[in-house]
Amino acid sequence: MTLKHTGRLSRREMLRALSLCAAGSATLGPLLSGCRESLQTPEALEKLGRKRDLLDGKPKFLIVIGAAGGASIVDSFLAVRQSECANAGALNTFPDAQVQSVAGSPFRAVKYSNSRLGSIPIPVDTDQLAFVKKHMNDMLVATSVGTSVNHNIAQKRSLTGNAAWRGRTLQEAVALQWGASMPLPNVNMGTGGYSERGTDGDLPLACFGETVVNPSLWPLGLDGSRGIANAPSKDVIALARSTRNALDERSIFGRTFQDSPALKRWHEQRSVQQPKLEGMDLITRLNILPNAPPQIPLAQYGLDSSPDGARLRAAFPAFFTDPVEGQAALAFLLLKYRVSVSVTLGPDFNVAVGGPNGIANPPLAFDISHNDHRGGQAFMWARILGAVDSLIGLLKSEPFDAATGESMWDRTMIYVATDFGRTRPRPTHATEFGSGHDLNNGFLLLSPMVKGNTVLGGMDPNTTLTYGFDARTGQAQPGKVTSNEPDIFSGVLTAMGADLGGSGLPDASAFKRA
Amino acid sequence: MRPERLLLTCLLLTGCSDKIPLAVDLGPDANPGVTPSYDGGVAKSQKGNLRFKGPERLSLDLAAALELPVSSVCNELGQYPCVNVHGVSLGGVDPYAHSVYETAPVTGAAAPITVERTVLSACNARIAQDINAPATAVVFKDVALTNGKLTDPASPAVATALSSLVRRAWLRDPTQDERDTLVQLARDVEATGTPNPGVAWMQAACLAVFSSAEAVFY
Repeated sequence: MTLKHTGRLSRREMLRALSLCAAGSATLGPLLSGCRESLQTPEALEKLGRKRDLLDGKPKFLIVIGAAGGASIVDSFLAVRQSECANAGALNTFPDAQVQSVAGSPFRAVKYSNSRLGSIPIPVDTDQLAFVKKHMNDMLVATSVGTSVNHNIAQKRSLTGNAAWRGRTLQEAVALQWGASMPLPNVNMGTGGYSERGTDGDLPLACFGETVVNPSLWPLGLDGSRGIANAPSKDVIALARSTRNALDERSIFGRTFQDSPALKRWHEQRSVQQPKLEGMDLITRLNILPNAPPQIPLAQYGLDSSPDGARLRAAFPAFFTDPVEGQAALAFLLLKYRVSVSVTLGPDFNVAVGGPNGIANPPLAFDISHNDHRGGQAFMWARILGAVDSLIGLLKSEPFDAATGESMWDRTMIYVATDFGRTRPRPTHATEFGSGHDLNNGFLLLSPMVKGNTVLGGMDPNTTLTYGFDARTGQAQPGKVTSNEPDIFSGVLTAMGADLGGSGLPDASAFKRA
Repeated sequence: MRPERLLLTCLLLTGCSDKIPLAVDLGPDANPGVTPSYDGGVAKSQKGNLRFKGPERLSLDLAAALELPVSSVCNELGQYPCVNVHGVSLGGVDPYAHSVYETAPVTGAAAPITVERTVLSACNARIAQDINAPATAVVFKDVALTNGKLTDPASPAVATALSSLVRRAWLRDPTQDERDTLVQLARDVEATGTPNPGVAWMQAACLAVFSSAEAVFY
């Protein structure tokens, strides 16, 4: 080195030294900031004295409701009155009388009435007040700013926290945490991005969602021979299966493709999952349908309705025609019979004919707001809240553990995921107008495990935009409008008491009931 | 020899099989109706790139193989086509009714069960026709039953029926071992004491063959 002889660096040595400095700063910078951030993880905070939930081996349950199309928080629990806004005529604010408050609660409730839903001639007559009064102590609204106004992408990000934990979805995280003993830990009846699997390829295959599209008829596919006319006895079926398995094992085809991942998975599904599913008599237990020939001739095919069928049909009378009601009924049964720990449901973008007015689901679900924002939001929120209310009632009435007196509801989280919010401007004082997609919004969580009767963040009435909060302390941060998808993701799991060690997720203690 | 050369030589030698994979002769000259047995020297596929048939292909293949109208392959409760009811469970799409636009990357947990339901329904439809109208029987031609039992499991008619069944499902003849296994199934079924063991065996054999991996993957 020149330094040895002259005490000076040559030009080549100078360049080499500078490039090493640059490489070092590029490498060490993120490492050091990563170290700094790691101090904020639940794992690190636990070392500093924070307590983690005991993992008692009993399952907890997650119901995700994908409010497709964009459920707007300013058309529900954070609605703004005209008298509160300096720019009321140009923004989505309501006449004061339509925004109702509940004593002792930060939540608001919108009352809405119109003779039509956009261009659809059906009346919309909804009131959120009863729901808020009934459930406010188990409700938490967390304000949010997303990162996409593309439906599919935003839907998926609402479940992954924008890849907050190696890309796994909330449902997959819950399935991994509590679903090991369940035959189908994660059942997904959602649509679009709500039905997509996450990107954490290291998870066990059982954690990924089992897709179900027809909740009323799907249980018929949970037994290989029952309900098939003139099927042979179970003994004969068992012999056929063992013969088939022997043939598969010895055949040229079986030997040639013995290392195929598809075939390995298939054999495992046949030998492990299939007996579990059939052994639980799910073709009966999950069957909401009544015996109603000629359309539903259960008895003729040797089948029975679920022992819970009658009360589910009472709770969800439109279960056969309204997809959301059918999904909610099946969701309850999947949790009750310990088939799943995570169930996803929600309206899709297709029209569903049914219900008292002839339209159970309008085209595009919440996204009909492009055509008629207020009517669409009111109609769709009523659909979601109606299903949630019935589910909570059923879960409360279902004992979980006689020894502790816990009900199913005590161990269930309902997360109303949504794509994004809606734009706030409207033609001056218009009551019927369309809206676009907006990153600014909020999420609704319901559970005895969340810090109830709480709004995390807040609402600026002059812009009708929400602002953020500190996910650890819960302190509102007016003016904060930066993306917080990982906070929401972490908040759901933190409230449920999931083990987040090593996840790198932000501390979201503010979501959890003390 | 230098150690690294020795190591390389060992690696090369262990990577070579001592048997050359044999092609199986499916020609008519060698014992018609039976594929010659193989000697275990089948080469494993390195890629293992199999595809699951999915709902439409499964139903159409069953309809073609068992000479049934597509509409009678499988209907839940006698009226809801399995290809619709179980289409997504079988890896299919349902874009118009339920916004499922893409096929599943892997088979779902319910897929093996719904395959069995679909296959069993189709088999039942075929067997009912073969039994009720023997003159126009397609698969189980001339298979004699006495008091509901197979009169002679070792009869040529049974062997022919089994070859027909296998050809329709696997597009090849059975090996002798495969045929023997399916004949043994008849004795096993009879031993269960099930009523009408002859028909039950037909159902079991049809289910075993058409729900096999060879019949549902390609």
